[in-house]
Amino acid sequence: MISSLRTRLLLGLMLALLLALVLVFIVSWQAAKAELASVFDAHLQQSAAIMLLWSQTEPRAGEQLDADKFRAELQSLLPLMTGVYLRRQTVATDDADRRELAYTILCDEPPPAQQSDCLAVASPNAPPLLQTSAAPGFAEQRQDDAAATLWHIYTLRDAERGFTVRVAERDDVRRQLIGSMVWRQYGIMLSLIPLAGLLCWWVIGHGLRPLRQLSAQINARSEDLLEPVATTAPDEVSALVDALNQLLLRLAAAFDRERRFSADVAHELRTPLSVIKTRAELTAARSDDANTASACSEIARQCQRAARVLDQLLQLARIAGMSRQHWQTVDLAALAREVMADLSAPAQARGVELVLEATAHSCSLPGEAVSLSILLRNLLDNAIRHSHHGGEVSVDIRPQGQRLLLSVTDQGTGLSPQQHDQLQRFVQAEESVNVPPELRSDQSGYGLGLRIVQRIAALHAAEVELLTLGQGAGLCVQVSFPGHAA
Amino acid sequence: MHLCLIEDDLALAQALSDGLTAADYRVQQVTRGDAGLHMLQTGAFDLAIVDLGLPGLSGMDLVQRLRQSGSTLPVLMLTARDATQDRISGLDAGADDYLVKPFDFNELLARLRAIHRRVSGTVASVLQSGALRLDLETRQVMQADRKIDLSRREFALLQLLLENAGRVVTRDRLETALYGWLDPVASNALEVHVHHLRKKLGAETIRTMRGVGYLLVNPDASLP
Repeated sequence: MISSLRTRLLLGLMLALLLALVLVFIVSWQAAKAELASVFDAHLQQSAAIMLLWSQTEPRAGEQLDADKFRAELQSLLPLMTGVYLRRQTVATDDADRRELAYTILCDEPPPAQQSDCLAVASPNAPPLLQTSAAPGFAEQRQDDAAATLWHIYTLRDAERGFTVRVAERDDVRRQLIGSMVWRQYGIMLSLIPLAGLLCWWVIGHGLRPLRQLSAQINARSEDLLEPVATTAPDEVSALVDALNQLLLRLAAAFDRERRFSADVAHELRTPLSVIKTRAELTAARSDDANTASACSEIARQCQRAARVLDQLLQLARIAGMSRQHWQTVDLAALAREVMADLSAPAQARGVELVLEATAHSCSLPGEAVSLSILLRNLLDNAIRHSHHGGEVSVDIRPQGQRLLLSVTDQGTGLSPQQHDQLQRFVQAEESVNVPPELRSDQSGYGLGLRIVQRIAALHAAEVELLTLGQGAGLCVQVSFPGHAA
Repeated sequence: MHLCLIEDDLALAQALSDGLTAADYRVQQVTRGDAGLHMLQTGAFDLAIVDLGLPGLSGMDLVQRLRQSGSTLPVLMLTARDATQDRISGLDAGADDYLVKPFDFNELLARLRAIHRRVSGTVASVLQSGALRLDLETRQVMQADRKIDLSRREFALLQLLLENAGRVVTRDRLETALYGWLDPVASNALEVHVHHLRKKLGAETIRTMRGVGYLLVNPDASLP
């Protein structure tokens, strides 16, 4: 199966063109043959007439018939009779003897009374069958020798002077002549076929341009843009575009339902979690039994953990709905200050100091503010949770060449080289890669948070890189955004 | 202290009510927004906890109407949503503070104490945190019994910090409040004012979060 529409159309068109040409050829071959045969017949007839006329004038009045002179003059007539057509054609055999007309002049036996000097003549190429007399007019006759040559013969008779002129032409020569004449015409036509092919190629390409434009338009979209395709395509393509748009609309609606559903689930789960947590905390505070108290505190902590996962699910749902349509210029430093102010309470609770280092200017980039704040929140959250008491988490934002570099550094335990490699692969990989199991655990808890960071970074065409500052010396996560707004 | 708890989830309302009663609050439970508004407008309450998603009338509309009717009752809003936009509009509607579910019960108690002190139940124009009192009408600042003289900008700075006592206020917000949007700000102007404030109020009163902003240390917030 040929996959290119253009090639398929071209092949089809060329095939149709060839078929049409063959049909035209067959039909016109028949017509040309009949036409040319009648021309050749007329020529045969004319030649006979010339010979007859000429024979009637010889000998001139008062002269004696000179047989040698008569034959020579008759022979010199030949080129004239052979005619323009025949002389111009190069017959394959190039055998002048075969090509030329054969003729005989037959004298009546006995000669009529008033005429006695009839000279029987035969051209050198005249076949034996021409030596016999026949009725005037056209005839086709086969020489009954080994070659069995077919001859077209025309017979004229001068009854008054008692002689018959017969002129004959070989059928194979006539066929060859007709063939070469017809082929000459078709040769020109056939040589035009490659040119027609080139023209077809160009016309098809031109006709298919709306399709190419459409596919370029669709290709240029980001993966999360499910807006209908706007196009002024020809009718055939616009049907396709309509179908595509319908699909996109249905997909967008399905995605939207999915997002709303997970958001609703997350919201709905918060209230029961609050009940469990409050009850557990109250019980822990009131209980005299140390075991009960610690169990209830653990329940409350796990509620908090579940709530965190819910937050992240909500964040993922929110990011999934984002597109570049709502981008604006975002001051990353101001955004970081807000997020850090928000996180100051949990940081303080863990005895972790938050510090921001940012150059005063050029910290803006084109992006989506809500998702960028989620990215910052997740990076900071991870850093705070992996810090030791009394540690520092620093955020650094600075332009670097054409890029804007955001780094979040903690002084926590960091990662082993093995963990580092796994996590680095994870943040750089496509969606299909799963979080390494050892990093999914409660202890590290990088998983969902980093997944979110990765997605938001990808949305902003940014690169995420992990820098381990040595085992036990903390981790630095760098996000490099392309192009900052000055 | 008389507290009105407007929460449609009975299990949560009961759990909170138990805990709050144990913390010496007299708790009145309401499950619908419209009934809650009526209750707040007619009853004598010192505090209110309002859930954002309520049947009858949403928590947001409830607070808005409450403020329109002239009430300065301290309101803590509970929300199951965490989108920044939701929080901000909750505060804009007139809530004094908000908590995202699920919350620490101790955190809830601390916030209740803080907003009650801040509004202090007496005069709406007085902001208070610990021993620090700021009167918006007389433009007087008192620390314990000591009167403190502040410049116009120092006053504005302290007001914003007091309104957010215990929470970090970003440099961007402080600079906007002090200088507006248009004036170009010298890069260390804010530091200079904070430095002066610290000299007058005591160095520990205002904590720096380097690069981010400042917070007024809240003696009410009992951090775990």
